[in-house]
Amino acid sequence: MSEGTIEPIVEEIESIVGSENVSLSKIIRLSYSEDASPFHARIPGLIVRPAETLEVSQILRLANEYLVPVVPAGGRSGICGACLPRVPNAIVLDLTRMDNIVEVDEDSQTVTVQAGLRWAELIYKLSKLGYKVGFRGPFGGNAGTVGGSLSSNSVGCGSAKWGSSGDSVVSLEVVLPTGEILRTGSGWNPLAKKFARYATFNDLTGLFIGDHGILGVKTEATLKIYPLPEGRVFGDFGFNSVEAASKAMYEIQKRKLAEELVLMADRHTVSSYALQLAEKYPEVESVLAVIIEEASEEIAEAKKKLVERIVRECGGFFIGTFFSRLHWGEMFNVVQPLFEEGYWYNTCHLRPITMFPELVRKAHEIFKKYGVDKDPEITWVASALGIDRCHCTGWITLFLKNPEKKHILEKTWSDLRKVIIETGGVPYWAGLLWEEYVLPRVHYGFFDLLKKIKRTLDPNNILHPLVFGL
Amino acid sequence: MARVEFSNVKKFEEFLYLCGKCGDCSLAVKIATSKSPLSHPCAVKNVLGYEAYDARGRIIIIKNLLNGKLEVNDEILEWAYTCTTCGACRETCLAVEGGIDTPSIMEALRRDLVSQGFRIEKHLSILENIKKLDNPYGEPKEERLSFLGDELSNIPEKAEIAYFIGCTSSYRTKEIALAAVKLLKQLGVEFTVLRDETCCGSILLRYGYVDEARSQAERLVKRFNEMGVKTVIFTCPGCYRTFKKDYPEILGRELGFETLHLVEFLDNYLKDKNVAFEAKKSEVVTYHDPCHLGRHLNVYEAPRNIIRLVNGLTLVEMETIKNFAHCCGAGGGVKSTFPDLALKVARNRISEALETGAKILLSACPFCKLNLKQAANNGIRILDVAELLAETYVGEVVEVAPKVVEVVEVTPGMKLMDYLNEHVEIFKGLRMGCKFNYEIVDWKTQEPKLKFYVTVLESGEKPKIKISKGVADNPDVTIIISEPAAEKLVECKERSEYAELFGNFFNEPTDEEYIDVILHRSTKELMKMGYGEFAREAGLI
Repeated sequence: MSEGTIEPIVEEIESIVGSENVSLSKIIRLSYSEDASPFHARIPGLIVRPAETLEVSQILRLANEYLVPVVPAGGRSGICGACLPRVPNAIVLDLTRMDNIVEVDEDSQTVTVQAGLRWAELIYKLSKLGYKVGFRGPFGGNAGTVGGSLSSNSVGCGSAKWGSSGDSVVSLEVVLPTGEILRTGSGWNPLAKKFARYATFNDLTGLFIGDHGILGVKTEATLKIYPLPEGRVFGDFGFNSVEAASKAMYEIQKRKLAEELVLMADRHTVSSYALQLAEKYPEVESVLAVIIEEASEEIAEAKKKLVERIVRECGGFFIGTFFSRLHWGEMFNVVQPLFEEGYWYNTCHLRPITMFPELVRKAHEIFKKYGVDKDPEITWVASALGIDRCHCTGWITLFLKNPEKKHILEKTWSDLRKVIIETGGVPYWAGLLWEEYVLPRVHYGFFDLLKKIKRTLDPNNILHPLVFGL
Repeated sequence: MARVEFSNVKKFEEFLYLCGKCGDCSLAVKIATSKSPLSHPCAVKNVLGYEAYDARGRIIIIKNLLNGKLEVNDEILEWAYTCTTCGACRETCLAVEGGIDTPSIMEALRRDLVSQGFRIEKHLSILENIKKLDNPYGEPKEERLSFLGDELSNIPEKAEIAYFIGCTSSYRTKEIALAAVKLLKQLGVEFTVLRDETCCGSILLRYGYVDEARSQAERLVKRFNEMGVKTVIFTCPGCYRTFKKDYPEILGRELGFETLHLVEFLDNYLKDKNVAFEAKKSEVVTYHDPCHLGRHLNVYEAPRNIIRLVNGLTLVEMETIKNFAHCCGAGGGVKSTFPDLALKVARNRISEALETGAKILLSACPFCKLNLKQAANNGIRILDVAELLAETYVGEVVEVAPKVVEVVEVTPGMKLMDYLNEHVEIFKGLRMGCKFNYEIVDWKTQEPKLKFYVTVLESGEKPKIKISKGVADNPDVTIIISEPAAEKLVECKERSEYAELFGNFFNEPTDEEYIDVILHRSTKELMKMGYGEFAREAGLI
C-alpha cells in the first residue's frame, strides 16, 4: 500500500488543475468523507477537481512518484460506500467537473461523455437531440455519474431491456494508475470511431467495469444511444402472492417485452408506497409495474397485449397505471420520499427471478426473529427490478427511524446479507456494504487473477487501496 | 478551540439524521426526467464547486460539529456565512415533507455562533450602522427619504395603505422606490410612507442577531399600529419576508396589518381596472424570481401576470424558474460578507437570462437588481417590475362599446371550469389549502388552450372552492386533460361517474382522449393532503 504524504505535491497539483480546484480545508475534506451509504470513510487528505483527462493523468503520475493514494469519486450517491477512502491522507478526485458531452456520433449511434456527467443531465441533453440511452442510470441518477455507475456495476432505470450499466458501453477512456491513457474497444485504433466494443482484441472495457476505481480512473465513456420512442404504455398488475407475481415477471422478461419491470414484493411494501391502494385491494400481496417503450405505438400496444395475457395466465389482474407512470415519470425521484421512514440500509444484489420469492420468505423470517415485523420504528421495502435476461435485483431495504434501535437493525441487516449470499445471490457491487460477506467466499483462482492484474496495473497500489482487500 | 452549545441547531437533529445524502440538493437536473425546471439547484456550490457548500455537505459538517468531531474556528465561522439561504435545496429535497430545511439549519447555526461570541468583523460594523443610523449602509439617517424630494410633501402622513421602502431602495436602488411611488400615484392609490422609517432588521436575522432584530421589529410594528395602517406594501422581498414570516415568530404575536409585495397588490388591484401599459418597442423579457418572494413566500404568478399586462413585451422563461430558480447570490448576508462570491453567482444567473435571448431581465427585488446589475456589466438591461410598469404606464382606457356583439366560442376548457364550479363534491376529501392546476390541451398538438387552477377554501362534503384562470403559485399537482376528454367529463351526472371516466382517460388513454397528471409533491405528501380519496375512486391508485 502507498504511504507517502500529500503536502509536497499540493503545489504541483495546483499547477495542473488551478489552485481553486485543490483544497486542503478540513471542512471541505470532511464533506467528502461520506456518501449515500451509512458508512464513514477516512477523512481525505486533499480534494482535487480535475476537468480534463490529461490532468487526471498528470495527477496519477505525481501520486505514483510520491506514493500517495488516490480515490476517484463521482456524484457519491452510491449506497455501498464504493468511493469512500479506506486509508488516511488520500487524494479524492472529485470528477463531477468532468461533465461534458464530448460527442454525439449519429453515424454509429453513440454518445461519448466525460465520466463525471450525471445521468439525469445526460438524459436531458440527449432528449433535446431526440435520443435516449438504454440503461438510464441508477435510481439515484440525479446525482449518480456515468463513471460512478460503471465502476460499481450499477443497475437501474431501463435495466429490464438494456441490462446493467456496463452493457451500454461501447468504449472507455481510462487513465491507468501509472498515468497512461487507454482507449478500449474500437478506440484502440486512433483513426477509428468508437463504435464497437468487441473489436480485434480482448474486451478490455470489461476489465474496468465494476472495478470500484482500483484499476484505473474512467475519464470518458462511449455509450449506445437510440431515437426517443414513439410508443409508451404502462400497466400495474396485482397478484395474490409474490410467487405468482415473480412468475409473471419471469415470463415477461423471458420474452423481453418491457423497458422496465418493478415488483413490489409484499403488502408492507405496497402500503409503504400507497396505503390507499393496499386498502382498495386487500387480496393483493404483490404489484408488478410494467413500462413498455417502443419505436412505434403499434409495437408498444402489441407488447402490452402479450403482457396482459401473461399476467392473466399467472393469476394477476390490471389495477391501473399510476405506479408505473409515477415510477417512469418521476425517474430518479422514487426512493427519496422513503427517507422519511428513517435512515436507509440496503442489501442490493442480483439473483434469478425464480429465486426471488425464496428471499422474500427468508427476509420475513428474519424480521419475525428480531421483532422487526411488529416494530414501527424499523421498517422495510422489499422489491425487485427486472435485469437483462431473467434475473432481477433483490432489494430489501431497511429504514431505521429510531437510532436507539440500531443494534436490532444491525443484526437484521447482517442476517439478511448472510442469507442473500447463502441462497445464491450475488451483489452487483461490493464496497463496504458487502466485502466482509463476499470476500471469504471468492474462488481462489478468481481472486488470485484479480490480485495479479491489480499488481501489474498498479505496482505501487496507488488507486483506492484496500478495496476488495487489495 | 472552543466548546459551543448548539441549542438552536439541535432543534433540527431529526432532519439531520433523515438526510439520505442522495446529493440531489446540488447535482440534480430534473428537466427531462420529471418535468421540473430544476438544474443544479445550489447556486453557491455551482460557483465554489466543493461538497462543503451544498446542503448534503453542510449537513455532514454540522453533524460533525454536534458530535464534537469538529470544533468551531474561523474557517467554520466563514463557511457558515457562505449560504445564501435561498432554499433551492429544500425545494429539491424529497426526504421529508417540504424538504430538509437547510436554510433554517444554517440560520440556527449562525444564531448559536453569534450568541456565543463568534462574530464576523464586517458584521459588527453593519450592526453598529443599524444601531446608530438605522440602516446597514452607514448612510445618514436624515437623508433616508431625501431621494423623494418634493414628492414627499404630496404623500399624506396617514393612510390605510403604507409603502415600506426599505434601506436598499432608500440608499442604493432609489429608482425602484421612485417608480413604485410614481406608479401608486398614477393608479390613484392613497398611501403613506413612514417619515421615520428604519431598517427592518432582515440582515440582522440573516446574520443571527435575533435580539437586535427584535427591537427593530417592535418599533416598526408599533409605528404602523399607531398610524392605523391596514396594509403595508413592499418592493423589497427581504423586508417583506421579515415582516411576514420573521416578525410574528420573534415577536410572538400577529402584526395587526396585512403585508403584500407590490406585485401582489397590483395583480389584485389591476384585475378589475382597465389600465393600459405599452412598451416603447417590442421586446423579449425574462423574469428572475427573488428567493425571498418566491421560495420563501410562494409568490410566483403575480409578477408574471403583471408583466404580461404590458403590451409589446414577450415574457420568456429561463431554464430554472419559480421554486427551482437559481438564486442571484445576494441573499442570506452573502452580498455583504463575500461580495465576490455574490457576483460570481449572479453571473451564472445572467448567463441563464442571456440564453433566453431576452433584452431585459426583470426582477422584483432591489437586492437582486443591485447584484445582477453589477454582474451583468451592461450585457442585458436589469429592471425591477415596478420600474417597468411606471415606465410603460399609459393610463386608464375608456372602454368603447363594441359595435358588433362578438360571439365568444365556449371551449371545452371553459365548460369544464363551469362544470367543476357546479360540482364541488368532486373535491370532497381534500384539505383546506390544496391547490392544483388544470391544463386543457389540444389533443393533437398538446398545446394548452386554457389554464386554470382550483384552491380549496374549506373542506367538507361540499367543499368551498375557488377557480381562477392562470397557474397557481406552488401547486400540488397539474392535471392535463385533452379537449375531447374534457367534453366528455362535463357530461357526467355525479362524482362517481366523473371519477370513473377520469380514471379511464388516465389508465386507458386514446390518441384523442387522455389525462395526465404531473405531481409537484411526493405521493406521501399528496395522500396526507387528501388527494388519495379521489385517486382511489378514479382507480388511479
